[in-house]
Amino acid sequence: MARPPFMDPNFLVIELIFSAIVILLALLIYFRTKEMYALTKHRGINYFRNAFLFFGLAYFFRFVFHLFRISRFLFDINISRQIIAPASLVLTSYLSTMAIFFLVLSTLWKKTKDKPLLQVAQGIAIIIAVLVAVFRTPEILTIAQLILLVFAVIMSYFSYKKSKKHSRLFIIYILLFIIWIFNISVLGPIWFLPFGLRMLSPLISIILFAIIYFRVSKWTK
Amino acid sequence: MTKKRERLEVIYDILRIIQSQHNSIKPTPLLRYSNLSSQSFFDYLNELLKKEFVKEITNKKGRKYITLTDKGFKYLEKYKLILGFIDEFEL
Repeated sequence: MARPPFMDPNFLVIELIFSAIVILLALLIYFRTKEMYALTKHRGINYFRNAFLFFGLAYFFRFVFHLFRISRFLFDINISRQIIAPASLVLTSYLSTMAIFFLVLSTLWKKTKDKPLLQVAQGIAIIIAVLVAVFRTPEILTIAQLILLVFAVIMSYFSYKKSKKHSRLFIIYILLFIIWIFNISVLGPIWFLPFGLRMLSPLISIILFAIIYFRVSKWTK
Repeated sequence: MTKKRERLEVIYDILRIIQSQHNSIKPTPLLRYSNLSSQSFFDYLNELLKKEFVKEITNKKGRKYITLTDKGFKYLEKYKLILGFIDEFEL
């Protein structure tokens, strides 16, 4: 099959490097906060760490999905594409939805102490993963996570109105959320986007993860 | 009205009291200095023993003393950083 112009192997190499940097930063955040969690068993720290572990894994499986999806164009081979690509997409869906929920829970858990929010989050993440498995398309994930984004913004707006406290962290988290959705959507119908624009989202991901990593490392010397 | 102490702060206070008493204090004065009800003091003490932040030593006369472990000292050393981290990320 002829290779479409947007499936340049150079793009794949750059995508691999960018994904590796994001995964590394996410895992560094997770491991640098290990001692702090071991000492305190603080629920907020636990959610925060899990968010970055799940983000790291989601970026990993997103890359695996992308790799297998375009493998037939790049390498003229068809290595278990029928199994590995959908499986990676389902894993990406579950892990990324949970990562988003863990990040939201890390800041909201004190206000919702007695509510079983983690179980609800797991239920929603499983439903989204099942829908993605049935329809085998990243668009479902994009739409589901866009809905979650709208909910997160509305909830945060009301929380802000109540407390009147300005949070720069909230802006970083929302950006992280938006960029993740963009990262997923480029696997779908808008993957014909110009090279420069496609590279923008992994670059912004690296910047956001690096900001969070440096803020974490300030407290985990 | 004074704000109720957070769990991490109570743990810090208990460990600080033990440290300030040359790392050896009997449970009864520790209870008095910690400014907690008897029930919650023993809940915290059991938690600290379980997590190995403190240990119980019995001397030759059969008296029990509480002392800090390495993990307890580590907690005291890292406490300010832990609070800073929790505050920075609004956890």
